Amino acid sequence: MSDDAADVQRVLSGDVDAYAKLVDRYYDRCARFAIRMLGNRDDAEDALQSTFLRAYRALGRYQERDRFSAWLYRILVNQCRSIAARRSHRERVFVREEALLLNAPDKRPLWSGEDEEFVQRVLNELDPLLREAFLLKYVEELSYEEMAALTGAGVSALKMRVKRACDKLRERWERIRDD
Amino acid sequence: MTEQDPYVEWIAREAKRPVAVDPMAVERVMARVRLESVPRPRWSGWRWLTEPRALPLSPMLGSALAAGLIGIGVLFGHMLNDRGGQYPTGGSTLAVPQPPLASHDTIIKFVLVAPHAATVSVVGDFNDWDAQASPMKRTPTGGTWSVAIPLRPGRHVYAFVVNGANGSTQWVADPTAPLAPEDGLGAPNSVVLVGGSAS
Amino acid sequence: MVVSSRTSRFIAYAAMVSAALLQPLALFAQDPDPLSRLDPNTRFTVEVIIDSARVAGVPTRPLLLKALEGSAKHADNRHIVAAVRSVFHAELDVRVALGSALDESEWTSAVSALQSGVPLEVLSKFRGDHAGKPLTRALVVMTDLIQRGVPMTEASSAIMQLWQRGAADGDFYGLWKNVEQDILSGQNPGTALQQRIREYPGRLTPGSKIPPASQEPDNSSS
Repeated sequence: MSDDAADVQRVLSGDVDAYAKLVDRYYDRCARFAIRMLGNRDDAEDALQSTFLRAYRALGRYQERDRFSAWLYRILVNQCRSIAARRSHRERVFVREEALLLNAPDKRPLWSGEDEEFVQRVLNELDPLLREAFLLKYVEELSYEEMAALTGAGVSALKMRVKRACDKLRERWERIRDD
Repeated sequence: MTEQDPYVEWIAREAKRPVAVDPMAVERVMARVRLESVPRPRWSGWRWLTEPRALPLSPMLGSALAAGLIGIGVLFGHMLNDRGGQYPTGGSTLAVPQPPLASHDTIIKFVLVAPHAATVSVVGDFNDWDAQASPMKRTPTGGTWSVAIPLRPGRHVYAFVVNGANGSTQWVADPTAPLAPEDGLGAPNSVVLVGGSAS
Repeated sequence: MVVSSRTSRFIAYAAMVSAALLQPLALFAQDPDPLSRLDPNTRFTVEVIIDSARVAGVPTRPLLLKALEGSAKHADNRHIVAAVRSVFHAELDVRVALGSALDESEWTSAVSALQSGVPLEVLSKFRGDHAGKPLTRALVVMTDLIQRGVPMTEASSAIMQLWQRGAADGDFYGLWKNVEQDILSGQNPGTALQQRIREYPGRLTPGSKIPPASQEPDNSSS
């Protein structure tokens, strides 16, 4: 039994603190997706809190032979989508100063700042569905079937979105290079 | 991968870098979680409850005989091959003690009694299920077909493709080898285990 | 043209990446593009399943081979896809039952055992330190006996008995050979197994059809 499945079993048997292990195991990764997807820290925080709360409530439905991360991501992706929809009128801009305000433990490497802001801006330029597909495939490294299960889109559509995302990124590079 | 475009790969790599996370975030989640009731499992025990599978008693011998392609001799194939205790490969496959071609390969001889066949080949995972790859040769006595193939140690799955003079084709499992399970592809397979350290 | 520091970092990275491209799937097989035998829709679906398996960390070669087998047998495309998916799901279950420290043959024989109807909890009993033990052989024999009509509970119980007593490859093979002959001679499969299993782990009885160990050619090193 995997660690995840074992911890899920413990929580379902009443050991609530076992959930902290699961959260701890996945929080950073989920945070990375939420920030890349939503482009700002406040929205990402909201998405993360509600994701882990909903995951807790739904733990009884987790099945051992599925990857826990993929199962969790379905919830995370939906939370990101609904937050993005609610705040669609606000401008989503990554605030680099926020990275300096945090007391992050220094064993986790912070970005150099310049590259991070650049990449985030590039990602923000992508249409949300393309960005989501790109992040799920190449940052979260899910399979197309997992992506289909958690986004509700068909595999063909997802492959198309990933391809279009890559095309757009490539176009952007060509514009920069030619400047 | 990212269609092998270096720039896109770079974006992905950069995007994969960890982000700074508030160290109190996990505790905040747990504080809310502790206010909830303990979630209940939806199923208990194994989620994957095997549905009773139909386990047909492979009538492949019956159908092969009915097709008239395989003589009754095949039923006794295993007895012929049991002389000297051929081991450990399956039934009609004889382990020929020869130096292997590759460092771990063993030459395995596949044999089938099919006196009325026009051509026979052996098809399996070792030749990508290509019916043209390993044609068998009829022995001088005429009723038996054979071919010798180098196989890596381990488990291999295969079957014989028997073509009649009238143009018919029949897939036949090796009647003297262990059976692989039915899996909806319509024709049964056999298993051969080749000795030596597997992979 | 002014090359920014970001651009130069990227160029250095690009050089590294182009030297480390993923191996194409085709290297599994002799044919450079084995899946080209399938029609495009079927191929697409099979590739997606293989992608899932790769990401999940279970073997992909058996999936490719199953697709090729289906194509060779001119099976209906839906059946091909169903068969490939069935192997993938069985591999996930095998990992749950036995973990993933298995060699290729152990994987495929465990998948076959599940597909023949052996439940996960029975398969799980083979878990643990099976180094030096003939897991593949035990599972192949168990699967075959079930295919021949021995009730699953009897077949698995008999094989597990032998397994737990530390039976060797030759013992499993010998048992299978004898039971197979008995069934072909018309015996009821379950009865045939019950009778033969009683011959273990004792000495060979006179007149037994099991080849004496000294006559078994050593196939292991050459």
